[in-house]
Amino acid sequence: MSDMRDALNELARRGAPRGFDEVLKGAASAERDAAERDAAARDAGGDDLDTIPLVTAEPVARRQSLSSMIAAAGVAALVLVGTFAVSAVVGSGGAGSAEAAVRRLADAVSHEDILAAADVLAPEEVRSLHGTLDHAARKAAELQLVQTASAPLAGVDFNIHGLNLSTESLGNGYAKVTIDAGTFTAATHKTQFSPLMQKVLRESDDNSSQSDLAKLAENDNLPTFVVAVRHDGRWYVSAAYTVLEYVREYNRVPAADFGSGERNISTLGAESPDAAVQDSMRALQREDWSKLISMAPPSEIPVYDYRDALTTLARRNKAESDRSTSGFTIDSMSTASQVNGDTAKVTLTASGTTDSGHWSLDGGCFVGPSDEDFPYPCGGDPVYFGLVGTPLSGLDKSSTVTVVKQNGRWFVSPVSTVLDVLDHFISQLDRRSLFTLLDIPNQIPPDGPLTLGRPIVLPAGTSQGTKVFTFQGHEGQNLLGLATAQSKPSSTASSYENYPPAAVRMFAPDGSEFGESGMLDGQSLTLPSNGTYTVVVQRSYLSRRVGDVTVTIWDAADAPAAAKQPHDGGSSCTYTLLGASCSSTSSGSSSSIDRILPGNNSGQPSTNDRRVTATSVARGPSPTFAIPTTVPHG
Amino acid sequence: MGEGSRRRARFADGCYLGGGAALLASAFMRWIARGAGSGLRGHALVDTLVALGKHVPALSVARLTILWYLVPALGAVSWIVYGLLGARSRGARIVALAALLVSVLAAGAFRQLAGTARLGWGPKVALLGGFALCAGAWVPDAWLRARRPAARSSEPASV
Repeated sequence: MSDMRDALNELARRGAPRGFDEVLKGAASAERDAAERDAAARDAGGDDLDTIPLVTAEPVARRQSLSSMIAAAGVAALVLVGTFAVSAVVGSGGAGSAEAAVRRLADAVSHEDILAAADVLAPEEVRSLHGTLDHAARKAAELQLVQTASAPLAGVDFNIHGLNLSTESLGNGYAKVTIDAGTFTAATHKTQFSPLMQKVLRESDDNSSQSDLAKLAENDNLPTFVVAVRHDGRWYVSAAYTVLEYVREYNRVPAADFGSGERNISTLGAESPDAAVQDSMRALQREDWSKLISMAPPSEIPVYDYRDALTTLARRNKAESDRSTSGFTIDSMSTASQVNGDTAKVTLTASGTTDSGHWSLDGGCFVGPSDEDFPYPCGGDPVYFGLVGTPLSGLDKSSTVTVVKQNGRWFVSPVSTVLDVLDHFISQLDRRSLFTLLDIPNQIPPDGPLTLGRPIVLPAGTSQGTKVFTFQGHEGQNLLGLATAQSKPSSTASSYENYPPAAVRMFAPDGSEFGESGMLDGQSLTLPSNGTYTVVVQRSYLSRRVGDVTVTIWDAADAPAAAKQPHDGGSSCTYTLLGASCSSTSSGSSSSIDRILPGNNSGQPSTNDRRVTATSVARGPSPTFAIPTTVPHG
Repeated sequence: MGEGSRRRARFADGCYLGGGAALLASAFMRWIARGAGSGLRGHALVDTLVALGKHVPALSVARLTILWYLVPALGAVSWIVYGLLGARSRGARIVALAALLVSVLAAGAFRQLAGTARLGWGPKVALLGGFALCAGAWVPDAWLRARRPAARSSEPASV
């Protein structure tokens, strides 16, 4: 017993004597230290075992609830990302409202995103436009017109800002969005264009312009508006409705019956693809506009909704023209169709007459009364159509009319037909044609070295109408050439038989063009320096009536007598980099034909005047004689 | 833990959370500033750019699409991990590293597809988010810890 008492007393004597308060303070301090060690351990690595606090502290509870909220927000965000991914897969074109669709279009324009702009247009109206734009962008990149296909408008800045819109309902699912305010600015930055386009633009500088969007149609006393349509719950900008509504308002004709085309679709169109095309042609012949209107798919070209307006307009125009009929007849017509599901391709062959003469159509090849003397080569070299009309070169004998089936009826689809032609044109466009159109033929990869005295054949109707050669020339060397055609033009075109059917353009070693080249017209060309020259040999615009053209270039001393004779007399000039030196060799007719340059596609030359409308290029003393040396550049 | 240490910890947490938010936000920004695809996101954006002839070596259209969606997904996951484990946990560090890797790959892929000049804010914000996540997750302990106060009595309370 005494041993136990001694042990207890020994224990009690350990440490310093303290009272009850001292014991409590010690316990609280120990708890704080333990909590701090716990927090530090978690911050450092978190892998340590959490110490269980003796007292549940309120700050720890608050931190845990905040962490839970953040974790919950993370889960919600993850669900949002998943929903976003799924909705993107399902697809959601258009916009939530008519105004939003217009703003989305403006945004696409401001970011030069033509594909996004196509996506906000009514899908039935644009059909495969997205694919055509894709195709065009890739082709432009392939031909180096643009630096990258995904930025075809690099170097061009569009911006639409300050847009203020108001919406008016035209019917269920149709709305007119008026632009009450907004500014459109456009600017070009030449340094951002592809190197090729910079060569094309040459002397031009950066441009900028600004337009008040609200006043675009001010001259016609019309507001600026866009019509939007609702399709499957989404709103799209409708180019077709917008155009038709402008036509209606401008001409003050009756209002459209929105949606009537879709409602009456089962009574429109034709029973078969062939019937659709033939009925359309017959309606055109009879000037039966109501029938013709009913052959267009209502969802693509809503002309049926505007039938009252359009027929009123047609009657008004007919009354004003004082003509009873156009004399248009169809003497023969045949169609052949290939059906693939709800789409058919119809080949149309027809012929007939008008008041002016005979016409014929074979696939996409149309020959009208005025084309018989100067026919455009169907499916041939696009350069004959000029820069603006060059997509027409996509038409050839294999071109077809696209017919679509909706609600069991067949309709002629103008949009698909045109897009097919464009696609064909894009696919066959090559560097040779394009660079010729852009007036940079010296950028075409050379076909080889020029051999003096060797004939160069320029076939008719193909893109081989332009050939490019390199030539190692030396200073003072004189060149002279002669162009001959396989066949002569007809008598009605005899005014032009004195002009060479081809032209030669010379580019100096530094890439600059020199000389008003008359080397095919009896005027030798003197080379100003040693170096490698680029020689471009082209069929001329006026050679449409002739077959193959052969051009031969000689050293002037070796040229035959025929090459030394000018076609029409006039001056004989020699050209150097310093200018032209001319001397009159004949007092014959004073006709003067200047070179046709880009932007001056004069179309068919007048038969009453030997002068071809063009812009003259003066280098040094103006020559009194020049020749049409190039094809039109539109 | 001192006040300074607490502030630094909150700053590091903020970095981590902000990084996650940046990754999420990048999904709603333009990845292409101008031209084709500027208004698109996700697989539509990838499809458009690839359809125009561009490609990234070793990354198919499907992989590019997955890569794009991983960016905001990892941002959301980082928040979840923060809430459950904390910003300096092993899980948080793994997520931060993955997010940085994915954002670098995605930015690089889109640079290849569209060119540096046409890159929008999306890839840039994604990169920023990845770095912020890593900064918040790997902030050094020495920077976090405050100066220790004077030594207290460490003797246990005895009764």
